[in-house]
Amino acid sequence: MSSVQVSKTPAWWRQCWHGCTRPWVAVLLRVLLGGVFIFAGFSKILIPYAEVVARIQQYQVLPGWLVTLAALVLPWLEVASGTALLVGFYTTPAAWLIGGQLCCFSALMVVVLLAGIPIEDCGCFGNLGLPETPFQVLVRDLVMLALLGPLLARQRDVLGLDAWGGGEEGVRERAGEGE
Amino acid sequence: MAKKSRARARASRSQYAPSRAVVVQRRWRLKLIVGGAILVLALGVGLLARYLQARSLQERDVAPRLQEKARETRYTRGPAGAPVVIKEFSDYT
Amino acid sequence: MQRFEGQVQLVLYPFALNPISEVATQAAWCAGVQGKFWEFHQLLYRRQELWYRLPAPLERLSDFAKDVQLDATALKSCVESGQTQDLMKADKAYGQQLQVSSTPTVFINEQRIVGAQAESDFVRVIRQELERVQRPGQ
Repeated sequence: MSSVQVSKTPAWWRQCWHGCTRPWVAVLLRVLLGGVFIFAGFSKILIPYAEVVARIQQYQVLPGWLVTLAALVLPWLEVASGTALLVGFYTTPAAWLIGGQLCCFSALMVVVLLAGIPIEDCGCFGNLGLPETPFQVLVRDLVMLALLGPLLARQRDVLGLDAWGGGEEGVRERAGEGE
Repeated sequence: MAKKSRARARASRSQYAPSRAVVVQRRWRLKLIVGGAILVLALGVGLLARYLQARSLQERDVAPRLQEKARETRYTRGPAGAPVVIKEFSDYT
Repeated sequence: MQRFEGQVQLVLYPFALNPISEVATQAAWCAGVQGKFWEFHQLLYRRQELWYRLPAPLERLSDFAKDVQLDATALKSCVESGQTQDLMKADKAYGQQLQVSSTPTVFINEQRIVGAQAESDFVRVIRQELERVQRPGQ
């Protein structure tokens, strides 16, 4: 007699997940998340370096050396990781890099909220975006982290550079060599 | 006779046509080149934007030293023509 | 300033970020019309807690006028007439041209320092600029 294994995952969740990992959804997520990070990076590049330092300093929880390092590196890291994700170039590492940044930003917002540090504008988008409070930033970052999930769970190479020899298509081609 | 020429044709084709592995390898290299170029381009645009922004700021600030006539409308401390001029933009709230 | 007497000039550009600050800035300029700008300027900072949260601070600021021997009525009518608004707007426009978006922003020659940094940072930059400017051949 054969035993029937019933999945414990609810059907609605399975359907939702299946929908989220469709190719066109993955492309949309890559463009959205990559675009946001490119925009954030460029908005910091377009303001004077001292302004970036001041905006990071307002969080008051980071040591001086980390503030300097973050002000120097962060804009370029955002542009690079956002660009890589947008064009689908090493999508999974780029997604991990963006996920790491989002985790750091979220943790920082939690600390700021718990410490009661008054911040009127997070400075996330330089002078190009709307001012956001730490709570708004936290919510936005958690939503973006959730949107990264489908990209990390199943890499999709549709309309991405990874499809050229390195992605699923490339794997299929390499598997076909043995025939 | 026909079988021999067909076999010869097949052999010559496989001699010159790249294998699937080579094709994949080439496409992987192309991906690296194109992806790398796009990244370099994005970062290059950023560097250019930074440079142009810094230059335009310098041009807007006509002279780092305060001109004599401006003293009538600006409150200053210290001598005119000092080697270092501190401009303070501050808000009372 | 005293440490670098004769070598440094300070130029003040009040940069109002909100309507309450605009009133205070105009009051300071109007105090200057009566020759008491710096005294009133320092008073505004010393007594900041007493006025900066008021939606209409002019009345309170006029009360301060007496403490620096200012004509409070003249100060109030000067602010209400708006005669110093052009100067305030010119300072704001200049700051925006230099991409000043938060205060305090200080330019030591062309070196920008944003935020209330430690005094040692300012002293260091001033010394660097003095050395650079006074280097032979510069």
